[in-house]
Amino acid sequence: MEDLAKMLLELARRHGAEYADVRTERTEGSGLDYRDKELKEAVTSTDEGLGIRALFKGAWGFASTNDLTKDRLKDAVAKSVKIAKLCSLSVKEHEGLAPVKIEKATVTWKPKKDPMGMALEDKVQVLRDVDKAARTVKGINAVSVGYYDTKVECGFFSTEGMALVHHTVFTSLQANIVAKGHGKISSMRLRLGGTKGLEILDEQDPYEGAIDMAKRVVTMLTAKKPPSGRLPLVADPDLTGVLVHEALGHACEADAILGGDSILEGQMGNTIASELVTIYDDPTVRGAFGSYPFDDEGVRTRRKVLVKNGVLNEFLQSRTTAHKLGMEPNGSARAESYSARPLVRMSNTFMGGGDRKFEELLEGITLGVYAKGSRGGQVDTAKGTFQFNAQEAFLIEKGKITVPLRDLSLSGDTLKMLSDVVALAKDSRVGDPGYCGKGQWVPVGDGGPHMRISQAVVGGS
Amino acid sequence: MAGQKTPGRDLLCLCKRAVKEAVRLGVEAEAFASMAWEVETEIDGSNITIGTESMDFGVGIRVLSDKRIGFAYTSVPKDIARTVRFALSASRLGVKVDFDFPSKAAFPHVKGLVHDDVLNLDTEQGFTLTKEVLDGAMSVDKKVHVPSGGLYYGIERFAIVNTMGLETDHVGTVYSVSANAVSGEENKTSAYDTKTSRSLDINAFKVGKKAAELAVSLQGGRPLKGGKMDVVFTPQAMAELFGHTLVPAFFGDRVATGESYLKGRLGKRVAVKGLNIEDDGLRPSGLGSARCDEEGSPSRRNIVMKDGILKGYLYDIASAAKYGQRNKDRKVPESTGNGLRPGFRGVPSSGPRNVMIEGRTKPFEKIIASIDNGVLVHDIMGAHTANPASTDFSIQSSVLFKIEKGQIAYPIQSAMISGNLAEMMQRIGALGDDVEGVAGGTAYYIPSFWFRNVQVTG
Repeated sequence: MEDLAKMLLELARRHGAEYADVRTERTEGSGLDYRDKELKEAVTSTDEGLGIRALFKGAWGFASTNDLTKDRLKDAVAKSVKIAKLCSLSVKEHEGLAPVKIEKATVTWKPKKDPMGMALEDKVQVLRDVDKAARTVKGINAVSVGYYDTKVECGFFSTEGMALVHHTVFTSLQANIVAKGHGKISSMRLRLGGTKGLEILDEQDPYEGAIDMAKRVVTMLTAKKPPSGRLPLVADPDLTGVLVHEALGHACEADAILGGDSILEGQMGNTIASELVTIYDDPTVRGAFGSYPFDDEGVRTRRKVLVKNGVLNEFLQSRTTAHKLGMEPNGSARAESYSARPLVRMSNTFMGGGDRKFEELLEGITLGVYAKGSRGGQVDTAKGTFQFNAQEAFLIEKGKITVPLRDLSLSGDTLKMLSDVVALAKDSRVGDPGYCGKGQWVPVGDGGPHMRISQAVVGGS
Repeated sequence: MAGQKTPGRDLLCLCKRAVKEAVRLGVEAEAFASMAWEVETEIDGSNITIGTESMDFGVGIRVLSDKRIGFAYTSVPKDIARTVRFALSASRLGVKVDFDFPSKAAFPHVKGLVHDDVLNLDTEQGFTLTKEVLDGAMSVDKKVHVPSGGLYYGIERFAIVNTMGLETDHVGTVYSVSANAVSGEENKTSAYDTKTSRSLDINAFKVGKKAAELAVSLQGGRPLKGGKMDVVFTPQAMAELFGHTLVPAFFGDRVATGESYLKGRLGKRVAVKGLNIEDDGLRPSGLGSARCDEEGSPSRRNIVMKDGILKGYLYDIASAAKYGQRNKDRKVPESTGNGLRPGFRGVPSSGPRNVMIEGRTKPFEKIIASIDNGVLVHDIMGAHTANPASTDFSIQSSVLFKIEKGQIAYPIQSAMISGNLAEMMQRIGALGDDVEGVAGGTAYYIPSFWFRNVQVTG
């Protein structure tokens, strides 16, 4: 691929491109969908293609193709430069790239257990067993289990001389467990995965996990309506992660700042949260679902500290946003695939841990709520408001977790919530694998510790 | 033939390679190759900022072995034989099915699918047309902002070859223009317009102008005093609402799993007299037209509702085999030519081609003139949350106007409209005389709809 990419870059230059980069990608994977005790879908696939981006007088052109015949590739190069030239005639805000170190490297993240080494039949057996495990719990009404593995080889080459190749594997398993009873339906989702292989099944027992979750789903059937009003809240690592990702992470994306879509515009260096709060976005966590060694503009990744002891410290930048804002690129440009243009995205976003034990977080709460996980919600990054529904919740009475609560909703102002963080447990972790959507889907991880907020707006939804 | 002028690989040849491997392995198989070539320009503010060209092609292979089906796909031609073997091993784990791939058939000819003006459209002309969208918006008010919009044009092709001797292909051109216009400084109002066609017969200037006019006319919106009132949906809003509630209820897949309120209601009254709905895979120049569907069943015109009576469902091969009604002459159930795929990366399921809705009409102005208290809704949000099993819906709109005493009185800030579409179909006041082609994922040819007595909340 490297020779081919270099030839295309040379061609782009001859067409007049001031800068060009080529991203190549080859994937091989399988996906299984097991529902209603039947294998509904088993898909194995291979995909290969490339995207070329050209810059001319402050304007971009982009072309992608998975037809890799010579003529088609030449056409794609010519088209990308032509589009850039045409855009440059009307563009008012000139685009450019902030300088970065030019690198040449090949990075291989080898899984401990290569999923390609396991027969499709055996993978299906895992899904069957997860399904069976969940159904051993009385009250479970429906189970669906999905499994995906993808082996990816991606390359980044540019007219500046970058030549980067990365080999990695994504493996994930998820189970949706539904219980019915007492005239109600309740469901939860178990998620395992990472930039890893089948070792994900050894690190976290999916069968035990399914049984545990099935029991929790059944418990939620008898859950009571939550209280509403301002109450102390303890969030579990998953919910902390969702709040950090959705409410703060998206507001830290430099394209949101530039587009006037972020409450954090003009706040750099200001205290925006309790001094207990430190928030990272870290693509270098080995094995996490949102990890990558170089971003899709060739920038080597590092841990970013978005909020440091309550002070806004850093935005997520691509080379293009960094150029516009006069800041440093930090490896946050990601594209869904070779056929998409890179955008500013998160990776693994999490809050650092504190010095408390979980039990200590509950101390002194006369009446409050303990909320776990999330089943979606809404965020307005421009206004800085959020609304989430917890996956699971309990009442806290006199420092003790008591009855389960159903459909707990949390809402409020992002910055107020971060300022009301009064205690953090030591147990910070990058949590479950997920996908973040922003017109394109990319794999991410999010997490944090158990977190106590002095007052949160809670209610039933 | 136009097919020879279009760019990209020889899809029939790729399919034949796959089928050859299946024959060697001694299994039944079907290869579906598709290609989408597309150029897109994007408007961002008052600039044409980003242009993209993309070429995506590949082959999806279904193998049928011992009555079990398996699927695999690839975009790498040298992996084709290997992909057939992947599909075969998947079939050993797959569900039992009771159908065969279709055999060779005489396919009808459909006119107007390929237009040279789209095939020959060059990048410069594409940019000029995009500029027209902006000019159209600016012609209404210089302060109008166009945060998104633009155009795309390109070619769609597919080919199907199977071990039953079927061999066919399709080619069509597509051209689409859209504009999202925003008006106002403090209180922003926004409106969207889009048109899609197989030829360049869309006036790009008018698309920009219409979106801008609507956005400007929404300025000064007032709050609404809610209650039960008459609601008129424009073709664009109606297509969106139908697309998520009524139309999926006709799909064989959903009827089969019970996720359709139309299950078991064949021959029964499901809407007001005079209402006809058909799905026509042969409509000349139709956006969903082709000589066959995406698993090789011949396209045809299916009447699903006539004079308010449910006449049939829309089947792909699998859902027809499993749940289809037997024909009068007791032949085995057949596909209605509604097997559609999300390109080569997915398997077929039942879906609509060109949905055409007609009924007792009244001139649009007369409809408005007959309404004492109601709203005119141009665009809706949240229709995807509707439930095709019950057709209960609750949608939001911020592109609507109050109708008072037979007049479009003033814009409304926002409102929520909720109800049950199945039940509302019995309370249609009239259809407009303004049938319009609306294309999102599906092509609709649909007029305005006037419903009486609907819950609207301010």
